[in-house]
Amino acid sequence: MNRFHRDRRGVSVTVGYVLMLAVAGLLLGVLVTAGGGLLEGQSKQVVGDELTVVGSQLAANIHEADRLAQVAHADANTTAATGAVALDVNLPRQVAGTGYRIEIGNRTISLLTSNPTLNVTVRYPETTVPVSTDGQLNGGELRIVYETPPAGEPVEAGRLEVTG
Amino acid sequence: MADVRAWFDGDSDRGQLLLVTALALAVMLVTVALLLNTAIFTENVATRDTTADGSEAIELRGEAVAAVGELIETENRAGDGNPENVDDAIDAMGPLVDRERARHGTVATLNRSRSATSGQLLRWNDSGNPRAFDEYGTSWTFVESLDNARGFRVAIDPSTLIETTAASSDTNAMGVRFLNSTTDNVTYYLYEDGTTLSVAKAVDGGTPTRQCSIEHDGTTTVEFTASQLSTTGAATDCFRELWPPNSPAEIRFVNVGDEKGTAEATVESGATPIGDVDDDSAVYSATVDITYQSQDLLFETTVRVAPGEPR
Repeated sequence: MNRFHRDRRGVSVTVGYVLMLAVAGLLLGVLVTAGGGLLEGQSKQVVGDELTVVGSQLAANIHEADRLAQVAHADANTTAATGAVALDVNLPRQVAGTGYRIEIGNRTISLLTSNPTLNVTVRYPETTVPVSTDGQLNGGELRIVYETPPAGEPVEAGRLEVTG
Repeated sequence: MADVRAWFDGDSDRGQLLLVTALALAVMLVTVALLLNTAIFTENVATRDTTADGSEAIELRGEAVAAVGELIETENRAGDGNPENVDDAIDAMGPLVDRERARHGTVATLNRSRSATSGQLLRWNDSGNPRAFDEYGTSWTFVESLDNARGFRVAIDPSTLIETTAASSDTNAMGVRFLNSTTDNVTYYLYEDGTTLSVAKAVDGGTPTRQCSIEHDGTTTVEFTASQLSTTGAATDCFRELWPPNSPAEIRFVNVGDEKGTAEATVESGATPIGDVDDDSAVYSATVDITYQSQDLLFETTVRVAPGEPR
């Protein structure tokens, strides 16, 4: 054993450092890469979950407005007067630090983000009063507005206007 | 590869790679913490009721309708109902609603939209007691030139009814016929079936079918506009409606025999009761504007209140 301890042949300081750095770099690189992948996956998951919640909230508010619109319409039909509903929906401007856009269809709400690239669709039962929007909306504060159509018109003649 | 030894000497010059990696890992851990925070917040928001208080707005509307309806009923109960009294009461009620809702942090207004409309309260009775329905023969008109009606009810002694079945009730059971000159006439026959009072419906002379029944215990009331049967200590809402869809212009009693009871209806002005039917002036309806405003919601509607009008 003492013989090897004293024997300095075949040992280079440079080679030792290179080997040590290579192994350390490899280990740390794998750690950082794995951590980055984990972060990306979790980030997508969290953004997706929050968009789903945001979409569900918007759907609930649309149905709330629909319910009020039906009441206002039924009242207006018996009195020939006008009724109105205006409902503010306070949604977050960003989810997990990224902005998003909202696209409202007849029975679906699509929420889109670009970083990470996601398209979350929330389905909701069709409303009695049709929903109307002017293209895509930015996430944040929305307003749902309804005015009763002229007396005698069916309930479908009205519109739930969603604006940003 | 860069000289990671830099300007350090000896064994203390190997930490730069570890330092850079540690920084990268620290950033990652902070990001993970932020993501976890967002996830927890999302869970929190997901279980929160974030809808506007639409139910409160509808509740306010319902309470206002019930209160104005009660005003009308109270005014009519005293006899000779005067629409001006109801108008004054609604005007007085407005500030009370405003004040009460202000306590909940919302703005609510109740205003009279137009003057209350007058009507007639028609009653068939003998000073409040049951009266034989056959005073005008086996078939006679209770009211005609009818536009709108509410609170039409017939209270009858079941022991005076014919005992029969639904299918043959049109031959001899007493019926209430709703006539309209342009659409099918509808007749509801009242008969006893064992210990139950039943109502069968026949459209334009067709075979009657049972609509609703109740185990009777003394005088039983058939609420046609509310589609309800009630007797001592019990009431039942009829799944099948007891008010015809034909907007009747005339109500007639048919197949009248020995039946005894009372009948009552509130009709809009212009209707003509026949014979010795008591005819009191009454308030038929009132129209009010209701507004509800909270932080997130504005709801405006105009409601016509006519308590007991068919659904």
